Amino acid sequence: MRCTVQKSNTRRAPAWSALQTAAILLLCRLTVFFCCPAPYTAAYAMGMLAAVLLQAALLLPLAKLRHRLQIPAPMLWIYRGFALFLAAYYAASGLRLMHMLHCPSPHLLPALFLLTLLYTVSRTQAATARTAVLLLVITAAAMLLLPVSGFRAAHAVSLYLPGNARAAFFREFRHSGELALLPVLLTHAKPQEQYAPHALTAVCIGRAAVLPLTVLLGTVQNGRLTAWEGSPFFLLLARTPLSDAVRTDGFWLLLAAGCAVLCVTFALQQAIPPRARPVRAALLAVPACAGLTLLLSRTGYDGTGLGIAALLLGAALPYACLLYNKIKGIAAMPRKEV
Amino acid sequence: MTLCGIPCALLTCEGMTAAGLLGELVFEPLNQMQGDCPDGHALLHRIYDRKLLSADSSLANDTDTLLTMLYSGFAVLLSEGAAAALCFGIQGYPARSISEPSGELNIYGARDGFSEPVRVNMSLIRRRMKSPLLTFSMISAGTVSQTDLCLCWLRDRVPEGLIGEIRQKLQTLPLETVLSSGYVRPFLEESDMQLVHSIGTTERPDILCAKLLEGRVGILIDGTPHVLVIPQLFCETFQTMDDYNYPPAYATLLRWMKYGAALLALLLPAAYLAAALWHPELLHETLLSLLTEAEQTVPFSLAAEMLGILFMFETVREAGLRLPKAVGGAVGMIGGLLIGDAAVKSGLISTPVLTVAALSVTAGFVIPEHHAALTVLRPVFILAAAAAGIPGIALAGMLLLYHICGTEVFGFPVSAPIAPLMPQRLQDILARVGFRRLSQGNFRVSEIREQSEE
Amino acid sequence: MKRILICMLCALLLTGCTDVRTRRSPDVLALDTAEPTRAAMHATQNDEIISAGVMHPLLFREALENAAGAEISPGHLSLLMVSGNPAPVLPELLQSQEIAPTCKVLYVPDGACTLLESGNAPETGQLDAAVSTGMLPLRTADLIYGDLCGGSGVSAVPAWLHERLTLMLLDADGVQSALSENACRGLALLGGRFETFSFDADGAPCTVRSVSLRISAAVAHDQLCISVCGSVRAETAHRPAAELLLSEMVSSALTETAQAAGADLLFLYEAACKSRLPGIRSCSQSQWRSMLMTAAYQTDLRVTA
Repeated sequence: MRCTVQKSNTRRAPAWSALQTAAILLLCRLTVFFCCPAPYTAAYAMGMLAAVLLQAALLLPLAKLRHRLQIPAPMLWIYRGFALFLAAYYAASGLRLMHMLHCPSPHLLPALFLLTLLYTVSRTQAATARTAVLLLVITAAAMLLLPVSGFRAAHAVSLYLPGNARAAFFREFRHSGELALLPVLLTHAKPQEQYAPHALTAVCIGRAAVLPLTVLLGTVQNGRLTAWEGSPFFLLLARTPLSDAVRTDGFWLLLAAGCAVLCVTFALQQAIPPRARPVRAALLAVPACAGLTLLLSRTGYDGTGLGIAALLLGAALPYACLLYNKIKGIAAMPRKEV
Repeated sequence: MTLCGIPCALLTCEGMTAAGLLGELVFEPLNQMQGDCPDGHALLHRIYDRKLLSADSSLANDTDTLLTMLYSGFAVLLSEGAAAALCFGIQGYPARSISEPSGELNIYGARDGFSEPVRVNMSLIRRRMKSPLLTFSMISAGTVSQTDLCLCWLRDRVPEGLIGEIRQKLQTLPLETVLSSGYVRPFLEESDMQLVHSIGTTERPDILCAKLLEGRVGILIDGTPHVLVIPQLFCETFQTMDDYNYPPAYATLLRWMKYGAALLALLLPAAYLAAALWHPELLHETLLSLLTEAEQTVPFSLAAEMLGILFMFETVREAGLRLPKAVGGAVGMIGGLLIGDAAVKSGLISTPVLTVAALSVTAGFVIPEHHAALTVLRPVFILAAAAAGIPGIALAGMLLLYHICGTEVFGFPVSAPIAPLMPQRLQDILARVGFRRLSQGNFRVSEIREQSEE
Repeated sequence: MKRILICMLCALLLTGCTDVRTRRSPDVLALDTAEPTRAAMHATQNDEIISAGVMHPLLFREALENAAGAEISPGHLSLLMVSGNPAPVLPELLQSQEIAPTCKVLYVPDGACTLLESGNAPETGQLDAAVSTGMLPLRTADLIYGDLCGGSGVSAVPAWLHERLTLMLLDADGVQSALSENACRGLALLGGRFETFSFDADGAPCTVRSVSLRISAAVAHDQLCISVCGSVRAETAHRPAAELLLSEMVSSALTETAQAAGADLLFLYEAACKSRLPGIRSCSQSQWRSMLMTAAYQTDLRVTA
């Protein structure tokens, strides 16, 4: 059974470009990064880097196999279920971050968040993709300023603090649920040959470069504050001289909340079948996500099962689909030259 | 009258034809006709084939066409026995002279602007673009008014299929009359509820010509000087013709000032409210003390105060627009006295809130294209900030971002070239690079058009 | 239209839940953690001191809000004065974001609230001046908490003792000994956060411009050896005397903190990890503290122009 391209609710359903795909995947990872309470140590950065390299090794072959990757309809439903769960995980992480930062109106904020999601989920996937690029540009510009603002107060010797690289390695897998949706994303992206390698390369380079470097910056900045219960990223911001002068943590709070909305929207849109009517689907998906979010928040879920499911769906299932298609004799998608 | 032995009648609509042209171009040649014609049909064809001196002449084969031509200022010649009528284009109805558009002022640009008659506007464009590829196509819209719409485009630049799509939409407009561009625009855009327009308007021929060169389509509407331009990108609403006349450095500074002004206009009241109500640690201590002191005597909450002041500003602005010029000046004075002096001194509003609101409204005037959207969005952001602080602003901001990024028209996303990102096209967005570089890679809207994948 | 108006009215009613007019923003907060537990604050708006008895030091906010009859917003708190044992209170205040990480902390042995109420409490500017002139190292709440969490679990906190600013060592059990002036200056020199560091070197004034010091750790004869070496760029007419005095300051700092009390205020543990000393990564805070107390310390400073 061939996987058809997702159509939007407009007459045209534009395909995602490499940058758009990379942007959404990087932002999903960044959102979880902002929310993660794990203390910043050099071992964290090393474990993260090792995990990213392994993920790159598992995912880059997908670029070559993309045109033969036809996901059968029943398997698509597995991806959709996973995407719904992923959306709830992102929502729970975002709300937990707001709670850690003592944001105002703790009861009203989830309601406003839901209302926002009802609108954003009912928009087209193209809107999500374009918003992701915009947000990524803003986030990248802001992250470039971080080392400049924090350098004066650094303790480089903190890099030698011992840490648990193995835990960081597995934590990176737990926090990489969005990569599991790559096989689905590749099927409704632009058919040009260069698309998939460009997208995957951008994702791998972004994850390998930005996050470990930020962790290292946080390590030298936060020093011995490894027992911090809140978000170490916001601790890093609170201790930078620039933040002391201009209070940039307000801007980052704005950005983190925006990224959370984007990630949940992205995941929910992947959970909605392509032929579904957008508004009706949003009215079903958002409350379902809200229910799951409540459950995850109450149980203090750390994402272990999600990580395992992501590994299976992202790394094992596409190859299983290839084998299935070969057995059933399903043809590859037509290639289009630039 | 009798022409060549055939009884004829010449019909004109009072006040719509030029009397001088009627005599010179119609009566005189007609009276000089000699000989006999067998019937009215032959007479009309003889006159038509001999091409009387007139810019436009056409045959009307049915009553509807005849009436349309008559009410468009044509002189109509009826001949006994003929199944058609001959129409001569000698329009001479009163029209406003060409003047500088009041809504799009420039220092270095041309001083002429579009006028109401569509044919005058066509000539203004033709004067600037002497290319044989410039194409005009007339369409009639409005079941009662039969208003002339003129599509104009450059044949080698417009994306394939776009003209057909636009024409199809215009021909099926469910309107009785088309009195302004605002009647047509909602039917071409994808939704009525758009805050950000994907179809622009302009009153300036030079701007329209620049847009046509990029492969856009213009729609001239008879009876209004505002020309619709398809598509309009969000970033272009911050650009003016003067940007391309100033030195690049200055023009770049002005651009960024406008971007900053847009952010100020939208976010300043909300950010102020969020900081004052929920995140006081973001404000400087001295500013916080000033704010607290200023708010001591005000009986309203900060949010209500801010909304009230913005409402007053909009009321004064609207009153100043609608009143006759003789009285309009008084509104400014009363508004300034009321808001600026009396309200603050009486303790109804505080000076910091008034300053913030005034800055926000003034910043909004820098980009008049977005005035309506800003006026609508400001209260939304204020309410979001007052309810949930910075996360509230973030949620409202995401709603707006999604709205902008999801808006497209005929496959052109308005958020291009930022989203989808086209780095080579950002040179005219992030800065105003010099003409030597601009002329190297001319922008075409076809680059941003997204096609569906089957 | 009616629905939109009702929604806007409801939305407006949800706003303005905090009253700006009556909110108090303290710049100084005093907590007496020992019985009777009290809290006091200096409100900047009307320059008044508000105090209240509290059931627990961490419930200070509710007690002060009741006493003041207004909401308290500690976002601009610049100085936290504590008496009793600050060690259990400081982490909680930081984690709950009642105080900013960069808030200054001052230990007051004889009642912080009483000192604040009497009007004789030192100004924040005095602490800033002490840091900028190299009299005290920079010790904000996050640095104090970091030393309690990591290193050897012993930190140093600025203290107001005999109407003078000094440093006192702090561990989980409470405040221990006070440091000498030389030790304080030595820590300030090693910390490097001063703007002007001036002292008298045998009658000649000496001003330190910048410091480039390296702390290394090694094991020799089963004993931990910590050495501090580097150069100090200073303007002085009497270089040997300046070198001697600076070395004395640094030695006092090491002796009174690390050797006497096992306090790791200078990232010595990290330096030991960097040197890959055997068994260092797996040793506990108390083991590291013991190692510091039995370690040998060397100082080698050069004063350059």
